[in-house]
Amino acid sequence: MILKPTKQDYKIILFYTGKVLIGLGLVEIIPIVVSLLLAEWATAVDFVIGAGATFTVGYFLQIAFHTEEDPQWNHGMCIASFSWIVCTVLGAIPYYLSGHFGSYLDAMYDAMSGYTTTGFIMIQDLDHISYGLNIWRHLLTYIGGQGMITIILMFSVKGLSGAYKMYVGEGKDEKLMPNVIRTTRAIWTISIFYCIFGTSVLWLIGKKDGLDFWRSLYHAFTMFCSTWSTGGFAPMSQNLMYYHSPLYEFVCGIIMIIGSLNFAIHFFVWNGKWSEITKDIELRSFYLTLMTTFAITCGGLFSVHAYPNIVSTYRMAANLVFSAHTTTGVMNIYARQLITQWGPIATIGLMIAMAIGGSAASTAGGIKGLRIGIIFKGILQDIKKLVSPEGTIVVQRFHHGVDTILEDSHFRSASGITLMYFVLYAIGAIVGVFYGYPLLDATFESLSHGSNSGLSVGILSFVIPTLMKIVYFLQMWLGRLEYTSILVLGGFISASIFGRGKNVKKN
Amino acid sequence: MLKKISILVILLTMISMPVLAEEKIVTSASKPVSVSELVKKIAEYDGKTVLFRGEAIGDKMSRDGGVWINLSDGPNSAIGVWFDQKDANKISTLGGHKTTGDIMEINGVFHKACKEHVGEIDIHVVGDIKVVTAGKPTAHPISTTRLFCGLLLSFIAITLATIWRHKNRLTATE
Repeated sequence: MILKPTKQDYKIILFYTGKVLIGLGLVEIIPIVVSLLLAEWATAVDFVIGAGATFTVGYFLQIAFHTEEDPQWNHGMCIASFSWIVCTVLGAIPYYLSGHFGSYLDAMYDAMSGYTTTGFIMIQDLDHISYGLNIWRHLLTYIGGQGMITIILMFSVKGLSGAYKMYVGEGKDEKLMPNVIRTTRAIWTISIFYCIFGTSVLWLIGKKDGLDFWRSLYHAFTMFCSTWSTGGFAPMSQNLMYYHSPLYEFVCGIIMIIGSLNFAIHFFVWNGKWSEITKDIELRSFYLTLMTTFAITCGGLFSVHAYPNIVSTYRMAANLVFSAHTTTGVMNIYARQLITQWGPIATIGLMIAMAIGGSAASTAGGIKGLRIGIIFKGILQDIKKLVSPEGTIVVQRFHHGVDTILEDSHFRSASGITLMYFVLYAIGAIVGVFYGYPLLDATFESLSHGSNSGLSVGILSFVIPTLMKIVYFLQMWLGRLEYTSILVLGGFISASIFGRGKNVKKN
Repeated sequence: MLKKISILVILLTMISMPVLAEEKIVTSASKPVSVSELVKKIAEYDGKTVLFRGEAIGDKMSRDGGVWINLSDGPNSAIGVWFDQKDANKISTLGGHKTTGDIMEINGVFHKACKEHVGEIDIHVVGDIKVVTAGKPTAHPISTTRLFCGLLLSFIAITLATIWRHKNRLTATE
């Protein structure tokens, strides 16, 4: 029998959703300031409306549903997943008001693409949007990469015992410090440090490549936000092609890789434990799959003579494989070139890279290197058991922060989530084929959405059918939050409708 | 006899040079090619001289003896064009939020994977360039309805924030 949630359950979820919205509203002040400084008055007004609506809803939820109770696990999961939807609806307001979107659904799609650090766009005429709007787009990927929940945790001045439960609801479980609030502040400290450093390097390269002082700084900041958060947005429609600079691409590639790493690795390196880079199962798995997919992609490019020499081939392949494997989505080629020039083998190399994705508890999407590593070790353990004498106990270990003995529960969890990712990829591919797109193209686009990569073969545009937009929208949301919190939210909604009886509170 | 043969050889050479030359003009002077067309038929257009028309957008990036300017032939559709400094100086307005850039018409060699630029897809300008339409400012007027909505929402948000803070203070003192 499913028990109906109590009023207190709704109060907790809505109250903390309100907190997340206040955090979002505070971030929305940044584009207002930028627009005012640059005399983009119409854009400033659009953002005042957006921020006003966000703060209004946020404070209303906090006042109307005020509670002193801390969230439990189910609340934390629901808050994480529900707040992402509400933030998408409200975050799309300035987008829609800009006039660069054909519908509110398109605007919401771009907002979700930003929060989930996917990188697909529905925005029209990107090359003529305002600075304020472009800064907002890239801020969405920056905060989405760190996690929306971390915004409220960072501004909390007292401990929240339910804080960890919301934090996990966003697909993270790394506890770098004893207190989850200190963990989120550590994450933000690391991010801001890299922001200053990475933006400075890109700024200098941009100036060397012919951009003027301020334009170089603007491009540097936006491209840093995009690559660090593995978002994939760019301030111009040509994405990385705009700069015509192998050095700019290379530095962006380094930032992507660093940004896709588990925050725990950053924390270890920050504290001088460099050995974690070579010991960690996730990084070892990532290195192996990165080299493998790079080799497949280069092999594919050589087989069709896509580029005139090795240097060009390596440049193009490296950038796109880094972009795919870290699920960033920046591209230094046109989407259709994957079909007209790259050929199927190189394209499949990218697909494998996207499907695997980056590190757990990072800004990246995909199945994650940790799960691939655990599944591989689990299979290896089973093979060892089969070839060993009967009665032999085979112990397999993996290192992820600490040395851990591989247990069935690890393997089951990794396999389960991996299976769900494949189901997600398949659903999107089937929908694409249903609407007449070739299987390879449809699978690529679906995989890219589900893994929050953002690379495209050219299917996505504002003219695709509405159902496809909705499916891709849901894929981005599910992929980023790694299913659990969304399934819990679904369960909560089901219980609200079909649940029976009173939910007796346990003391 | 030798003189006649020499003249014949010279004439034949002059006729055959356009045929033997690497680059051919494939588009008529009145029909520019689009970025999507170039990407769709990438192998066919590779190495050919094409006519391209587009708005100069973003930035002029001077480096390595030339200038990169991206030309846009429609929303979210642009390509990198490699100019020499003299031609680049003819472009005075670049497109952005507050301006529509100069609409240029150029003849250039299309490369699907430019050797000079490490595999980039680009167009190298050959011959003269033409400013078809000069760039101009773009107006973005403020809507009074939106201004009113923004002020109203701000007032409501500030009021609710004040109520919330007051409620919090009361809870703290209790």
